[in-house]
Amino acid sequence: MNESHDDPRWEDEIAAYALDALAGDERASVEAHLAGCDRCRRQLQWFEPAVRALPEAVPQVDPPRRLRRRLMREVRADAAASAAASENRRSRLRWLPPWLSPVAATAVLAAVVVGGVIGFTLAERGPGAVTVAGAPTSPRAPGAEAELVQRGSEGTLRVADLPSLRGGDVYQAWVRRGDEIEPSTVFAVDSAGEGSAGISGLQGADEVMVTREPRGGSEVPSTEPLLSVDLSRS
Amino acid sequence: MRGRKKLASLSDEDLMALVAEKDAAAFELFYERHGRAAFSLAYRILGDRGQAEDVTQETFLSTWRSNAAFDPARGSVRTWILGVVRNRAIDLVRRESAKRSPRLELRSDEAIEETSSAASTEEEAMRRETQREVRTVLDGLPPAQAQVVQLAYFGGFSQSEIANVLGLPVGTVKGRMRLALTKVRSGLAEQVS
Repeated sequence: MNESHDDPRWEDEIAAYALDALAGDERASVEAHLAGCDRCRRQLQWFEPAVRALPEAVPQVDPPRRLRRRLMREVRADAAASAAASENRRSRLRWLPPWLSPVAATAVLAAVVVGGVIGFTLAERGPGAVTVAGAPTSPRAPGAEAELVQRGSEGTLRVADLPSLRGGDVYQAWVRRGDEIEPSTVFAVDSAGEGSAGISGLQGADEVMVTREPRGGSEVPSTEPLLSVDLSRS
Repeated sequence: MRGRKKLASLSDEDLMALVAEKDAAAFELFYERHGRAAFSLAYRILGDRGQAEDVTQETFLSTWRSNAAFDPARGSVRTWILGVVRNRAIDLVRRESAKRSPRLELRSDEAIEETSSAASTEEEAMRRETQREVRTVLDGLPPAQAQVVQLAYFGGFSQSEIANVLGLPVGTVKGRMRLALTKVRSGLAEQVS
């Protein structure tokens, strides 16, 4: 049974509770009292704006830029791996080339997904990394932007302002060497048209392209490229 | 980039709904809006930029990786994320201090060199105004009351611990907390009116 609110100690206890300044037993005692005392609950609600204001009074200091970069690196790796993995899971058998056994196909797909994730952790700006800007190549994505951060044979492709995907379609990266075009990572974009993909096998590549493909990706580009990153002059 | 302007008009709650759907652009905007305040609070509590960075990163990443959507019953998004940062920072202080030496002096805020935000949005301007109002109210507190509030909220000390460190009866500490919160709350109401 809760003690009467006529006990004046409760007003002090509510303030300490609002400031999270009570030890375990004391906190439990106050919570038990609050469950049965409207007046103290109203007092607590009245104090709450004052407690919420305390962190706003702290001198504001800019966090280091590397904090944002680290966060977004993790976030984009999670988002791209999740999107690629779910697309590949849904259409694994459909993407299977006739000459490839299911077991080998699974290994290839796993390499594409894992390679994409590894690509994020390897190909970051810094010593030894080369950043190349891309350009839109289709009227279907006139404002699209791209950049490829390449470190050796690995790279991270970042895109922005690509049109939203519908009907299970995906974006797919391609690596061109001369006349040969090889399929690379399948990825999705977020509501702002932004996305990123790890690209491997860039040694000696002339160009990285992005096309829109049906669910699961394609063996050869089925549409004209939307974006192109010219590596021949980098 | 141009696509992000669509997100900028969303409320914090709508933004968090997109974050729950693993929208990276929405998360980046969420960090832009609240990362500075979160880092500043962590730094105020921990007094170490590296630890503040770690706590801020852990807080935002755990938000991203949580499968639970934001619950508006928790209050505003800003209040919620700052509360999580505070709890993590206080936990770190407690873990690392086998024998705590609370900072009894009130120099902590003065020792922090404030930086101007690069953002110039109307929302940021309103936040700066709110911060000025809150500081005006807090600066008006008697030092003895301000001290117990700072030790409790930014130091994570219980009223018993504060009483022990300051050599005061617990009842005195409780009374100062109540008077301080009452003054701050009343002062905020006056600022608004």
